[in-house]
Amino acid sequence: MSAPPTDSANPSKLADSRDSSDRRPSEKISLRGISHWYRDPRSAKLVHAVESFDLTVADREFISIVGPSGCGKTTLLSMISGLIRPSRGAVDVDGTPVDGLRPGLMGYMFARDSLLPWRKVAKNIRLGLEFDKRDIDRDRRVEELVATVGLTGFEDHYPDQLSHGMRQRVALARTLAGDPEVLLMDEPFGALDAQTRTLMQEEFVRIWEAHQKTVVFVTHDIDEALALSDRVIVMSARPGRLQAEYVIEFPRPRNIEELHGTPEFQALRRRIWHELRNQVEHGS
Amino acid sequence: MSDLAIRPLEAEAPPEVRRRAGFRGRLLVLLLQIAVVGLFLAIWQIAVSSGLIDKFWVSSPEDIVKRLWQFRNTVGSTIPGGIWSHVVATFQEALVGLAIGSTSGIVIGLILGQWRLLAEALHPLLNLANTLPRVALGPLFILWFGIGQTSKMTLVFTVVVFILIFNTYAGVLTVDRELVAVAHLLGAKWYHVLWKITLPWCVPWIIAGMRIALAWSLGAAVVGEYLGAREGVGYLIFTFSNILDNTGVLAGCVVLLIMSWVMFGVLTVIEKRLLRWRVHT
Repeated sequence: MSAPPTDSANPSKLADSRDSSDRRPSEKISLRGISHWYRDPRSAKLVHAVESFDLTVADREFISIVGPSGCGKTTLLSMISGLIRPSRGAVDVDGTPVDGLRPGLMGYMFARDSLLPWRKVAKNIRLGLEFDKRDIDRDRRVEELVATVGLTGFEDHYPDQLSHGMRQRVALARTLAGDPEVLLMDEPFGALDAQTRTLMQEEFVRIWEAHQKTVVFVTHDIDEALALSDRVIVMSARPGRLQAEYVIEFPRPRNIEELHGTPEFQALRRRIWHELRNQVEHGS
Repeated sequence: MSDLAIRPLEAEAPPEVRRRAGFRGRLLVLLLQIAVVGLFLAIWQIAVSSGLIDKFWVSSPEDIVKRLWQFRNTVGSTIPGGIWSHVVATFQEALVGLAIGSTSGIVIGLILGQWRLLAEALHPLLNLANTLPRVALGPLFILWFGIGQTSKMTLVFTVVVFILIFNTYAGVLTVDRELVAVAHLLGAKWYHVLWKITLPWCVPWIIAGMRIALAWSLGAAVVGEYLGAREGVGYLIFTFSNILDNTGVLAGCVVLLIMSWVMFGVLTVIEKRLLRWRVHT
């Protein structure tokens, strides 16, 4: 195994070296020396997915992870969520090791909407609330969420009757329902058409700015990562390592459409794309 | 297209729901069906009336209809009363057997779906048991439970339960694992997943099983009555056949036909309700 020594091997290329500790009050998530192997169910081969990965995410930070496909981005999210355990290393959330799922603390959103087709919109959003034994006004909470994601009037529609973008809104509302402190997003807007995606990004940023949650956002779309995040992590080709790190300092609230046109955005975009291209070419 | 002031939802049209065949199309199909049945009955009637076929063997539509009308008050000289108590008896046998059999089948199917190791062990045994014609066990059930309705319900149960075990289990195997993962991530316990994900997911499979089980349940009840009973439509048919009253046998069959129509009608209503969310079907 060619495990590089952890700390010194992280080539952190800060786009702006300004000290931003005032914005990052405390450490929310910390990944220490994560390595992971799994057996591919089809080929039965051992896959080395992630190698010596270190990362800390501050409380209420919005962080994106980009990387070539198959670099272990989703594996990392699954580890933070507690769905899978790393082969080596440890994941802490709020200073406590992750040992199984923590539903109240973390929300997870998939690329596919994964709605229950037999439940109407309101009942789909309600799903997680039904597992919560606390005495809460579930109907009112659902009503709020429907309004938050802009689906008022569609409560009684079945998922089959909705467009792709609307279904993703339902999935977002369902993830937000339990008011988790951490949102783990696995390419949530990846399957949407360009216009819908930009709209969803703007609304998601608006929701995030209002509720200030810690977000780990996995995407293959550099524009998306830049427009949304406080920090962008570039991962190497498999086995995934932390390749580079960029602090994104565009002022908030951000107008994503306008931001795309600025020279700063374009310059940063080119740098990350260059970094990523090296990895894609390496990986294939 | 860059005008973001437009509300996003108005820009997204929901997929168009496929339209069903129009009213005229359905009317045409109905007329065609009536024509086919009418033609069949007419040929039958003419063949018998003209003496082409001996009426003794096949009766005639006219006689059968007359006999059905008589069934209101009397089913025959040897049996007192009208048809109604017999219809109720056969319905009870079929429906109680169906209810207990399908509930047990669904529960067992779900349990097997939860414990795959158990399923792997039991699957060949269940297959083997299912290949045995259950009717062969009928005499034994009559010996155990007597000549009354219980033995028929047991026979119906043994037929229905396997159908629903296999269908429910087949449904469980197809459950979308990402839906289960979503539920777990939202805090679901295993029983939440079973009740809110797995069971509703399997409803189309269960209903498909019920369609098969429904036809079998009536058949099993009737055959059970053939083997020995004091009441029921099957008992009547068996009695008619003993005295070579073929009009009575066929009239009894028409009664069974109507009974199974009613059962399928009820199931179709239940199905429409449970599968409302499938807009394309």
